[in-house]
Amino acid sequence: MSSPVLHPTFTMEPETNDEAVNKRGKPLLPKGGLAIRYTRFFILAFLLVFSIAFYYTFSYTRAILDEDASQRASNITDLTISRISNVIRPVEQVPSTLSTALEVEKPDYRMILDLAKEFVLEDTVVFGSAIAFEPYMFDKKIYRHCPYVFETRNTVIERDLSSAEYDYFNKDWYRIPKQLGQAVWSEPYYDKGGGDTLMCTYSVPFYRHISGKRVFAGVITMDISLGTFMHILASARVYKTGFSYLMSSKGIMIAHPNKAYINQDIHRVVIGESRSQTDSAIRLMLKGNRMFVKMRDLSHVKVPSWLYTAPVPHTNWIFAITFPTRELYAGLYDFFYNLIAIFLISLAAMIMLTILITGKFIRPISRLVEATHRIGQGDFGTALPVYTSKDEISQLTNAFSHMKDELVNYIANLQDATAAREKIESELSVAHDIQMGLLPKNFPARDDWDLGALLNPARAVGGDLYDYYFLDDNHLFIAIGDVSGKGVPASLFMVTARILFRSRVSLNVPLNQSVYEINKEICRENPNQMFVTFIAGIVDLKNGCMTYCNAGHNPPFLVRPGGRIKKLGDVHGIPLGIFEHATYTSGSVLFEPGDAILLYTDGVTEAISSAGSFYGEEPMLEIVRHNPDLCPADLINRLEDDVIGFMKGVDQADDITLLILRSKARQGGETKSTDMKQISLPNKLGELNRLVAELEQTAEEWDIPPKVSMELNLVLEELFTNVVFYAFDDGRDHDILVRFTRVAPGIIQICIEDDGKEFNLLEKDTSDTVNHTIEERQIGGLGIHFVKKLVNEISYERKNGKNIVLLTRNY
Amino acid sequence: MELIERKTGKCMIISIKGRLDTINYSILEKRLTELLDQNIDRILINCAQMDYVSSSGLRILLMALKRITMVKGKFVLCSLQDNIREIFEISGFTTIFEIHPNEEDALGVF
Repeated sequence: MSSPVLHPTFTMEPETNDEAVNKRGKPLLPKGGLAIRYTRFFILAFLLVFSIAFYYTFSYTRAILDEDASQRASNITDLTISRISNVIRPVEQVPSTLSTALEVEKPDYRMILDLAKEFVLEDTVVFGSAIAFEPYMFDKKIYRHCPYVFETRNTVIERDLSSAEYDYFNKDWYRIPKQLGQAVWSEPYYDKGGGDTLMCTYSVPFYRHISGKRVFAGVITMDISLGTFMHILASARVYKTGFSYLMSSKGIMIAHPNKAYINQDIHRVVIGESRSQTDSAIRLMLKGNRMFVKMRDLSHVKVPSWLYTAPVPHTNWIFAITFPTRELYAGLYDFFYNLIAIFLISLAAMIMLTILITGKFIRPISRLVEATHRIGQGDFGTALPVYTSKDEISQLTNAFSHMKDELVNYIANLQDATAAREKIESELSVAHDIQMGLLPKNFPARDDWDLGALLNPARAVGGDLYDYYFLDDNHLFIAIGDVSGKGVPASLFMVTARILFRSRVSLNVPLNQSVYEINKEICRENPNQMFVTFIAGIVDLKNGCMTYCNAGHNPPFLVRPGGRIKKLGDVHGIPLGIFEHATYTSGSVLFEPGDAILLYTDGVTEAISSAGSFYGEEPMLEIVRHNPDLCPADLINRLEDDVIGFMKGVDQADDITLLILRSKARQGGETKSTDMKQISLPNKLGELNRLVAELEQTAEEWDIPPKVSMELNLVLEELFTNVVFYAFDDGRDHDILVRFTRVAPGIIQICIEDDGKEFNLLEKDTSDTVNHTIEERQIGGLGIHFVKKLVNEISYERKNGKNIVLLTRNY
Repeated sequence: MELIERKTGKCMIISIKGRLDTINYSILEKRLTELLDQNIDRILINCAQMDYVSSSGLRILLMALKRITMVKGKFVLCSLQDNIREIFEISGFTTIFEIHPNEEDALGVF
């Protein structure tokens, strides 16, 4: 049952699959394999989900951090402001109390100054206090008076600031409260000649009641060292580099970690890229708004920062705390850096796991692929992997197993079918041999005629045929035919036709009559409506006259010496097998020595080349024309080679059949074509004129004396009219063939052929025609009498349904 | 074929010019039948210019001879060309027909 031929049909391309399987047979991960694809997909999905979660968490956390930072900054601010207030409150309360003391009728300046001195000593912040009087307010004789106590090395020194150089009346700490009529904090200033230090002064105006009027009498001041706030601010720090500062409502820096900035205008301290944003923030800040803003530039560290500001109560001071956002988020960033690291590690772990898991899932498929591969190579014994699970892979395996079984069955069936076909083919081969055996071969060697024939079927058996055989010593039957269709039915039909021809064709029946009957026979038993085109011919080997009947076949060619071609184009009826009552006529042709007739089927002329063109008639005729020396058998082989060469690369579509019959050139005394004339006349009386004209012309050419010519004229007229009047009673057209042959100088031979009723004029007794008296003479019979009298030899033959009268006349 | 008729006294002279064959014999047949029907019983056929005669032509002449002989008339031929004369001889017609070498001799018998 093994059929090694079949295996390649089921082989997949092994190279492509080998890549997927390494030497141990363990499946690797092929590019584009499921494991890689799934992993890639998972990674992408994971990345997407993680990114969203990450972004959300990050934003949320940052918002919380911002909120927390704001709260924290607020707390610190409140705490710091409270601490500043704690420092400032006594500084404000004491001078207010003292100013009240100064408004009495006769204040005890000494006691007040001592109280101030005591306060300066006790209070850590206040380092100096002055009581500055309006001119002549202290004493009517004293223009200016300004006792000043200040702390230095834990002792309080008292001195008078009233000097022409130190014109305290124009100092802000004196002038502004005087004008406003209320206590004020001064801007920070360096009090040269006064405190001789950077300070802020709290000035409280005091009044005196003179003549019922409350008159401004002077200012009592408390100087505080700004250094005190430095300590407070130093403790008000957030995050690593965050810091705070204090400034006046005019933007003058009261306290700042960087001492260089103290007493500077905030606008000069803050150097930013975006001035407008900075300015607007400063404006809001100096207006005393409590706010928490993220500033790109309002910083001294030049990094994006948070700024929290709030006004200090009672004073016109602004407290600000700032810190870089980076530091606020440092923890967040750290957290997320860790998170990303964890993410990457888990991603790597997930890739590994995915590969491992999908690999595990895929392994059965890979095994199935391997098994499939082996099965594909024809190893149907390969066991498929067994799975107990009910998953898709199991289903696939089962389906494949089913397919394998079906395949095995199919191959078994195919092998059976192939065996059956081989049997049919071997029987066909026998049929071919039988068909070929039916064909005659080896035309006997003769001096006068030679014949070659060939049948090359397109399939084992073909529908073409040729045939030839001797009807008697002098008559050869030749035939060629082409059955519609090909193969066994055509070949059977062909054999039938051949048998009918062999049995029906006879010299005693006109050929067209035989064909008529054969057609009738074929039509009667033709259930498949097949038909056959056919040419049958009977050749008189002695005189070279061939009578033939073409039933719808390709016209044969007569190839004459010197390469002249005569196409025998007349058709005598429709193909055999089509119409039971079809009638057939026949034609005749005379072989001159050297003439060859070429019969062929359309398998030759319609042979198709790979370019799609037809072989045609011309190449065939060329070969016959240019090889006059080749015997017909060799010529046929040459033709076959040429046709097959023409069809190179294309399957032979139709049977190729050829038959060539050649009349050999006779030795010596050769008849030239000028010594032979032939005329074919319809059976019409009027044709007599043509016959006479032909005879007269021949007589002139061949130097036949007028007397002889006239006598031959008489003979021909008698024979011709006899045929016209009596030979046919079917009302159809017939041809009467008349041939003149100068067989030798002074001898003319005339052959008259007709296919009419048999009439042997030699059997007609005319011996007593001339001896009767006038009363006894019969009208008629005279013509034949003339004929017999006026020629030297006369013969009659009934052949192939024809009356052939041969006359010889010497002159 | 051409027929030329001439009448001298009681005798009708018909000269046949050309070929007398199967195709045209009926012309002669028709004319002779007409003459015989008119009871003309003396006819001379001058064959001096008759080049050819076939058996069909001979049959007409034979037919005319038979009819005139029956009514005791006279049907005479004259001036046969040699070739034609041979045909007559072969057919044995020379023994049946009265044939004269020339027209003058022939007219003498009427």
